[in-house]
Amino acid sequence: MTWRWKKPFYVYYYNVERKSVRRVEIQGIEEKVFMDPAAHHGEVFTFPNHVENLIYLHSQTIAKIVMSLEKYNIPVKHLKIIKGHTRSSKNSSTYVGGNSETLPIDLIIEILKRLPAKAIALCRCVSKEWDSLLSSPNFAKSFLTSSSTRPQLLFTFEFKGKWHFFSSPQLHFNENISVVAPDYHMGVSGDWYKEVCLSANGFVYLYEKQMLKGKMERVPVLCNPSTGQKIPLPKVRAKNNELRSFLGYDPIEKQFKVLCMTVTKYRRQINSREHHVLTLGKGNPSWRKIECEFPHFPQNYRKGICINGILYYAAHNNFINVIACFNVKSEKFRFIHIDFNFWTLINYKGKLGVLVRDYSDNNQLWVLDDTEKGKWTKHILYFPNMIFWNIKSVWGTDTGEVVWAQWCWKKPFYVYYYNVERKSVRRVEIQGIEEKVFMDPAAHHGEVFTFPNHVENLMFRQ
Amino acid sequence: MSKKIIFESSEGESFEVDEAVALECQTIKNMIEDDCTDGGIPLANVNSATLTKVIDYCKKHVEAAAAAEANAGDKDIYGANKDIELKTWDEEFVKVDQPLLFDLMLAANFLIIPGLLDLTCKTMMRGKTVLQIREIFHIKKDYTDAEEAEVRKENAWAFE
Repeated sequence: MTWRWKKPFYVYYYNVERKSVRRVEIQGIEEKVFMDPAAHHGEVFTFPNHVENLIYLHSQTIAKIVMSLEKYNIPVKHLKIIKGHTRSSKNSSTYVGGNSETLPIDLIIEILKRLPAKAIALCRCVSKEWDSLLSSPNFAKSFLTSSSTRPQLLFTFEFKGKWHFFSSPQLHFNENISVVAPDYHMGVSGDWYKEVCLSANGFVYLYEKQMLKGKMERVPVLCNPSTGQKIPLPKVRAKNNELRSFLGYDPIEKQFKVLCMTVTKYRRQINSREHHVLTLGKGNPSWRKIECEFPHFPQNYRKGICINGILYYAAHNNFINVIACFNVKSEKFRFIHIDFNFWTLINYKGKLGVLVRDYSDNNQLWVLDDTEKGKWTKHILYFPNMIFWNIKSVWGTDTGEVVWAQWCWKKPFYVYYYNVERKSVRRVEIQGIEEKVFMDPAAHHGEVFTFPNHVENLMFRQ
Repeated sequence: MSKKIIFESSEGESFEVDEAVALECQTIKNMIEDDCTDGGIPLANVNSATLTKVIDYCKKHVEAAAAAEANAGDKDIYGANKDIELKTWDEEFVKVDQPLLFDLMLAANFLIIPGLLDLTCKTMMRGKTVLQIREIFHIKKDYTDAEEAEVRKENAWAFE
């Protein structure tokens, strides 16, 4: 190589065996630093075998850099190439996008509605026009329709004062995948009561501890893990009463409603007293009192689920076990009498499934085929009893599986798929969670809440 | 012998494809149903390079669908692997430069090929910065620096 910079600048290769020389011109250096190409300059130092190395950067800084680059699975080294292409696109004669200023707005919507909510947030920073387009209720509608076609598994757990949300594609039993790297959505700060955690159509309903006028209060909150938005709901007046509430979604009117019932504290009470409904929509949310002709005592929140506009939850009616069915649209109650104690409710192939723990026999899955007639199909589940003791998150799928996740975070973190017909289990490891939140992989952490059928939803943004 | 359909690219080049392949495009499907494909279909806004890729995509997906049908009985065993194979093929298929990717997306939108539109949109936007998105769509920044700082702050989690 020549020892000083001058144009043209050559590197020479001498092949020892073949005894021949070739040269390669290194072009364009002067343009990059705005140097006069005619000028002669000082010595050029050359270092062969250079490798890019980030090792002595602070470990968190580097992790953040890599994370932001690989967020959308773009390996670090590809970044330069992409930039190069974008730049060259200006001179490319075949580039139809050259006049993309006229790209119709419908096509822009077509493109953007296919992206994850996190990319939408980024796109709002592109221009005012895009910001107002992406904030519009109409876009929220087409985005929801599109995201509903790709339901996800949503995970959340608390670490260092934040609830961290992750999602992964909702696999099914046949998919030949044993490891999945989830997408990190965000960390949401907040002190939440861990017993209440229900989700429907993209929103999670929970209770948050908030200091109000010097008093610690339980505030009901709807949280959207796709945007980080938190909608605090007004409190239900309940003097000396406890509350039981459930989140429901009506797919026909596309409305979220919260059903809240008061039950008397301390006294052994038989039935609920007051029933309130809150509809989430325009304006400030407020509670409406509704009538319930069938007095009943709702059990705890964990035994509640919303399937196709019907909210199902476990209840007693004069000490008899029932499953209450609340129609989210019409706001009417029905009850199904059952003569068994059950463990939890799941959505199995779009129908109500009830997991029954049987100490003498095998565990069972009861599927409600006909709500009107109370017709059930019974399946025996051949999986060990211990599962019932060790897990809290369990759900069903459209393809006939019962799925559950470990209840607390520890590495490796598995999701298990039990195929009811084939009576076999497979597991999928969810990898890389601890790296995203800089958590010590060896530590054991708190409970992980898992929400199946999560769809990203941009409704109700301010 | 299966019926052939002739496409004509913006450069006037002719491409002959099986009708089954052309049917992957909803727009062409409608034209075939209306019986107005005689003498070739001129695609004035799709160039030859793009059209070649589009035809490759449609062919592959027609073949994959046919293979899946042939294996329908063994679907439990082979169906899943075939899906993964096709996904891998798709990923390789869109490893092209940005201008071609953009053209493919426009073509998929024009010809109505939902799978290809989905694939190209996602690939095109994946991992892009705000600056890169402005470049791709030729959007002028209309925020002042202060406004941009504000909107970035509001959406800070997207940059985490």
